[in-house]
Amino acid sequence: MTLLNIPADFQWMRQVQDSAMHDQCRLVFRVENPGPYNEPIVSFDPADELIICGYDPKGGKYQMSSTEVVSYDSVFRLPHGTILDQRGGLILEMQAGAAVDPLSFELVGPPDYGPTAILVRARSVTDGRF
Amino acid sequence: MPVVAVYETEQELITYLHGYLGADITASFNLVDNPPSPTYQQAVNQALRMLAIQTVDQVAGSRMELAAHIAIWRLLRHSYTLRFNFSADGGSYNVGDVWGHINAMLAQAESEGIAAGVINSGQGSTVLKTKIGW
Repeated sequence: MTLLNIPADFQWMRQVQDSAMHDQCRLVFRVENPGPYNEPIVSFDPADELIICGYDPKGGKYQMSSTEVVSYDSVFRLPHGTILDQRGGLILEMQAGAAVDPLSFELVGPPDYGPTAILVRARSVTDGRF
Repeated sequence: MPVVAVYETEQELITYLHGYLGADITASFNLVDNPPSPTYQQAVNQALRMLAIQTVDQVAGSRMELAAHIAIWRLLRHSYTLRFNFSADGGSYNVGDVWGHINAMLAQAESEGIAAGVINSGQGSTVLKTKIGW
């Protein structure tokens, strides 16, 4: 329920939302460089810094186009204002303050920009891209 | 923390208040000790007004502390007046719980203040006088 709808409310609501993000991940950006024959060579560049996030291992299906339906296996909350690379992904490295074996995810579908956080659907990357 | 017979400076009282609230609360409300946040200074000013004195060294330290407890919880309650529970973006947050804790602490501080004669019972908050909760 929202009583008010002014920027000051969004500000503290985002602070509350951020304070409930107990995991940390590293964003991954897709990089394209020309190869020796001027063909694009794709690589993935993980960010230097970890950022806070909220990992929810709850999957579902997302309809990418009229015929293609993609399964995702988790949803991440990211702080409002996070700049994502939709063709990149993220690597989950900390859960509830403890380091975990890194789990790599690619993003499925566009992010949902909510009033207090960005929600992204993600599925595990198992081919070793990043 | 040693018992202070009389606070000599307002900064001493602010440092005491910072310790009284504790690290979790001061972090939640973004209260800093040095330099003193406006909230602490306001609390000191209101405590002085409550006791009808000009400087903190005019009364015993214990009375100054009780008045400052009441003042700081009243100010924190004021800062939380417009907060509400909300559910958004995969989370559900009962911010009203914090409001409840603040009111409970204020009621306790006012109760101690009334017992010690720092404020009279007519100056207690509605929460304390009616005990209706929140």
